[in-house]
Amino acid sequence: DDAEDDIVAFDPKNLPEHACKFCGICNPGCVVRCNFPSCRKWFCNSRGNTSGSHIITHLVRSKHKEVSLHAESPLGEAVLECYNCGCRNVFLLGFIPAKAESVVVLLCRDPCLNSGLKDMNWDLSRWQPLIDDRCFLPWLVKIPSEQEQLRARQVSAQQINKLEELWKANPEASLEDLDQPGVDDEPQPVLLRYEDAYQHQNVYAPLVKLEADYDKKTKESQTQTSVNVRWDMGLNKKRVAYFNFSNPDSDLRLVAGDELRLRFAGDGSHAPWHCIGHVVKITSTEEIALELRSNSNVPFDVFSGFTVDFVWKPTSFDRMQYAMKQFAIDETSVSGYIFHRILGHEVEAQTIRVTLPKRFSAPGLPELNHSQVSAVKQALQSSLMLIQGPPGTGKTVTSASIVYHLAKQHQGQILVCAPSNVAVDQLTEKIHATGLKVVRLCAKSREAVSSPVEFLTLHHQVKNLDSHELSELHKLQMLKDEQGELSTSDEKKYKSLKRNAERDILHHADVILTTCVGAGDPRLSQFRFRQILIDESTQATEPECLIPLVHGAKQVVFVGDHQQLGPVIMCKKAARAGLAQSMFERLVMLGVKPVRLQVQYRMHPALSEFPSNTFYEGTLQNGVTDAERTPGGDFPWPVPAKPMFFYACTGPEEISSSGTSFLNRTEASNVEKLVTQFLRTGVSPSSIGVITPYEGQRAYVVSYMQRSGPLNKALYKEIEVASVDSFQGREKDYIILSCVRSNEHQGIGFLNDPRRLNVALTRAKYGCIVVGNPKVLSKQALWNNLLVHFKDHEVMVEGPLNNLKQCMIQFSKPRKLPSERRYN
Amino acid sequence: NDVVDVVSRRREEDDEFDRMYRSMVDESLQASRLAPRTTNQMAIPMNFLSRTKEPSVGAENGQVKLTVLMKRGAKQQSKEIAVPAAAPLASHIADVDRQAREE
Ligand SMILES: [Zn+2]
Ligand SMILES: [Zn+2]
Ligand SMILES: [Zn+2]
Repeated sequence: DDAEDDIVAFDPKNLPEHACKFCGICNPGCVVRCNFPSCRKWFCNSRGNTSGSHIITHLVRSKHKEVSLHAESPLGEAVLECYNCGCRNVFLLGFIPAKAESVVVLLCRDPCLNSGLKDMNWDLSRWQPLIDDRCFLPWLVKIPSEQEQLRARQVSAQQINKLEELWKANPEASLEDLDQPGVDDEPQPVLLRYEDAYQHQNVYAPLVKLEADYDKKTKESQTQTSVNVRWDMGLNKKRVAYFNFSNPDSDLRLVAGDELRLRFAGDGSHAPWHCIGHVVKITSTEEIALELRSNSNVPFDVFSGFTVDFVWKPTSFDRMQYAMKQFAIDETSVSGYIFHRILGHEVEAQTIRVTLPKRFSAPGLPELNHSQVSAVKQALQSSLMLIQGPPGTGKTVTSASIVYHLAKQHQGQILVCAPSNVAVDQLTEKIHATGLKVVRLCAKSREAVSSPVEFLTLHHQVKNLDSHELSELHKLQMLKDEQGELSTSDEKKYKSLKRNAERDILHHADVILTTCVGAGDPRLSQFRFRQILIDESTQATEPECLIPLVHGAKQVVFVGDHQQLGPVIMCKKAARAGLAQSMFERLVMLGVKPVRLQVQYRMHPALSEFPSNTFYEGTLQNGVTDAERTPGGDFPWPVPAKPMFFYACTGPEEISSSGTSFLNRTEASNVEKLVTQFLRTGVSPSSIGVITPYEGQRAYVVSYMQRSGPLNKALYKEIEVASVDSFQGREKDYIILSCVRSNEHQGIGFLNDPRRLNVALTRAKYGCIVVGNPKVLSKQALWNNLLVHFKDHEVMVEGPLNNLKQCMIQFSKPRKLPSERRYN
Repeated sequence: NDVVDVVSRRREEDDEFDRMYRSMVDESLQASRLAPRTTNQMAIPMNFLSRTKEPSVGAENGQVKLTVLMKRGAKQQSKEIAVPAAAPLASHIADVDRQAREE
């Protein structure tokens, strides 16, 4: 009809000045002008494809804060400002009504609303923010009609971000300028198959570089000033500095082995000083213990005014690049068969002829179950084998049993790796238990870090070897420990003696264990390994996995679970291009069928039902009975036979004080009540875990329990509150999951990843409680399924803990679940 | 399979935007706390009181009329604007209005 024809289809050349710079909408009632002096651009109040309206998106992205209305809008040309103080920051403004009139004014939240303004005429309690749900109040600035929006320019959130970037350099830039080359330089994504190893390297090398650059940039920006230090001396006579190095603005968490530089600018009685050290310990109060490299001139009578920098090292990235290069240029780096399988070429499956052992269980380890035996059997006969170990299915024991039997074939030393030190330590322990001779190789920077398998580490074995040739080494070692340093000639002698001793010990081992990155240690450069097992391989990037492989791999066993969390990639660009995809996962997509371990020994059968059906096609069997996993004490489980529930909680989410994370106070208080109830029924604090995806909530829960928990504070301190990621590979008797996100329009963030949900739901042995907002979570298809599951089992509840009631909240309609495939 | 990419990218961006939005609010609040306090300039001019006392703002087509009071320089100004009766401010105004009529 006529009204429709009045709206002219979008024409970029023919727009009035007040047209929205993003979508071109120019209805005067729908647009506002940004009043930042060098900006003064107009934007509309429609969301388009973004989570905030165009004007709000612009203000937030450019950090502009002031606006005015169009002359032809209902209020006429007007700057939006506080009626009382004239503040023009729209993020602080809101309307208040007069008590007895139909009059409203704009008033700022701070100082005017919050400073106890006393005025009988106004109802301050009814303050209504000007921006609601990331839009201006729609009655003040109209939201364009659907027709108008359809005819407008369709602009994506990415285009908007890029345009905002362009405006920083050139305020006159337009969306059309985005089409110029060079603006959008996404790296080439990973492929499923590669022509040759050079193509493989050409794809991965830039991604590794991107991640390295990002890592360097973030870590080097962590410098902290005015740090207080207390001093100590290690057993090896080295100075140790203790201090706090926490930065609420970053998710960087130091780990033992990281290098930091401690600096002191100098004062009247001290010369300027700096020294690099290794983190040897992180105390329970998150204090860092830094062992300094050198004892000379340390200002240990100074306790404040230090500066701490993170010392970034490219070692791990260099080793990945080197491994990719070896893979490409050195024909002997891996066998021909492994080479072609990795590149995705069609080759006939290779089986190895071996005499199979009569017993598949290994000495010193638990008896294997049927699916574990079958995995061991196939691993011994295949050149390339994938084993999928869902939560609690005995991955480590299976891996250790495989390694035991491989060693018994006497085909040479076996290399066993995993991406994380924790996983390597666990494997070391289990393989050692079979009676094999194992050496755990640690990075030099981690030698001072205590570990449960200390006695199996190379550095420990070198120190404790007792033989004639070594007495000289020991003498020098003692001298070095005492003095901190050796003379140049002694140092040279010491190094060569040490190198020989290390080589000797490594040569006599049946199995060498190290992290994937550690496999690139120069001390292993002359070693060849035909048989390699990589555990938790689904958490390693493809280039990381190559580091152990290029030692001559002929028979490879990858163990992992691609339904749990993958490698952590910080650089979004690199992650998007596929660096976050493990080699295991790509091999699965290439048609290599993993053997799945099928019996789980961790969870109460009620807890394993949903993960089994959702992530493992219902194949997960229970190796434990209800009776073996029935919680003791009298905790108010809504259905005692099913020790789980969803605790509906509709408190709002907030941004944390750092501005980079989220928290939810209502959920935190409910978590404390649940924890307190567990403690009251006699559960030990170390067997309770609180999982939350956000650092802001983690910190808040910890401090809230300390502040408000009614029991002994020490008890709450022992409760582990951590991210999903840091719980991967571990278990607790009881798990409380606090979801945090609770808003109508924005996403649920981290919780969107199905693999993260799987990990979160499969940590508990006896009981699992999810605290969250069902209305918001049910928008996502997978969460919707989970909520329905809870509801069907009548464990979807709300209300006070001592009087839990079925929650009758209507779920939202879920959005479509994205498929798992990532290749085009 | 571009759809997946778009969906996951969208989520990241939503999350990022959300963080930026909240930090804008927080920064603004922190900055304003340092700002000097102002005295009360909130008086409603008398001529307004008499005019708006008229019980003429009943709900029509689900809309109520609000008077927005603004300052242009030192001068007060007012404009009427229609607000959906369901909006939080409007429902309060409707109550006020009903009371006025009952009196
Ligand atoms: Zn602007
Ligand atoms: Zn627009
Ligand atoms: Zn104000």
